[in-house]
Amino acid sequence: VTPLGDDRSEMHPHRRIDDDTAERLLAGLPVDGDCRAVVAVVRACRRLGERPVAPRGELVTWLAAGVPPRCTAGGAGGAADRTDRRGLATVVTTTQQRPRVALGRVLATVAAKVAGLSVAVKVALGATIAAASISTAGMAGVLPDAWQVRFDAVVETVIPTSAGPDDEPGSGQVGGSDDDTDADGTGEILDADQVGERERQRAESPHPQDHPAPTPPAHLPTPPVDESIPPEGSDTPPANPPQPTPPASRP
Amino acid sequence: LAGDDEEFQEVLLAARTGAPWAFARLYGDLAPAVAGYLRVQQAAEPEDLTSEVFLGVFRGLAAFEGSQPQFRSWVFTIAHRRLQDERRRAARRPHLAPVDGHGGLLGGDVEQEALASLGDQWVLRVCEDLSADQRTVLLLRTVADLSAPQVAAITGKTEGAVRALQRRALEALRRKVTRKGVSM
Repeated sequence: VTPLGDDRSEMHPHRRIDDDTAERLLAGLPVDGDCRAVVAVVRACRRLGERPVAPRGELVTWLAAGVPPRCTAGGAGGAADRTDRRGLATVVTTTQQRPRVALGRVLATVAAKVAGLSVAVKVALGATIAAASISTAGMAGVLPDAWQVRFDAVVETVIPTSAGPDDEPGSGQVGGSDDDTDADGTGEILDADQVGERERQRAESPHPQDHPAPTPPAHLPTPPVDESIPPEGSDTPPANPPQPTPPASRP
Repeated sequence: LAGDDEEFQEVLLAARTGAPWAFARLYGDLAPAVAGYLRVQQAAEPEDLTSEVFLGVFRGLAAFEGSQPQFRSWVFTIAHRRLQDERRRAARRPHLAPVDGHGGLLGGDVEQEALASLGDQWVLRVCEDLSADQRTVLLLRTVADLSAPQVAAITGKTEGAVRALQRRALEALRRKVTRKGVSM
């Protein structure tokens, strides 16, 4: 009885395969001797990678409709994506890559997106951009004169902005001027009662002619005549001095 | 995409923006090789796993920068990792990989007989005696068409170790296909 391994057929009668021969075999190149049989195996292995395979599951949607890829840390290949593969793909995470995103790359991305659109969508997109550009320039008043006149006419037609008779200064139209609350021109916002109080103070000033009391707008209520205030020049103290009125919101 | 890196970069850029035609192009170019690799590695569902691999590839496209060979290597890196994940999961339960017998005998004119017996089952039979590392290296070199340094990077081995593994794998294949009377 011959133990396993002692049989001549189980030994290795062939000479060893060196690196050059191995590379030729793996490349499918012809070799000499008994290695020719291995070439058939290598070719069979290569053919395995030539047969089309149908996508399945979620991938079908990606291939049919396309989905914008997002960089997911650990999502694509898990640890494989973050592994230094010694000169292979340079893969970084989004947080590392974001500061390096250059304007050119962004523009290239936008250009690629536009290139993927249909002709009709491209035309519509171009018309929209042109209209927006002209509108912006027209609003800024930087169009050429002829264009600006036409633009103003169109805007005038769509949005009437000419002043009517009620919009004339001093007519008292609501919303006409800020003077209705800025009676003394200091920029301080006053309500109607405060405006009336200022007018009275001006009337009592030593030189009222130097500070002509502005006419309150007609729409504002006329401040009530305070009978407690004596007429100018009167030495009689008021019978009922004005008491500060508490705010209406307070009880 | 063969040999034209400029064209590849255009496709890659379009795929980053979500263009479906670019996805289809990348998938059609590499999916057969990925599926073939997973099939011979006896993945449970090679087609499903191939789709998972490419979903991962497409989701990670925004972070990828490199040439076409680098992209190919990256895709197979993901495929190899997914295969390892699947094997780790499958290790917890009994795994049966029945392979239908091909019914042939190798002998005589081995090359002609091998060429006449091409097919998945035949390759599976031929490769089943290889060690896991030898089979991985052999398939990445042949099916994936990667270089020895690329295979070394994917498997985490040195280039010298990869070359040694591929030598031993080829010698084992030679012994198997030239041994007379070996039932395939």
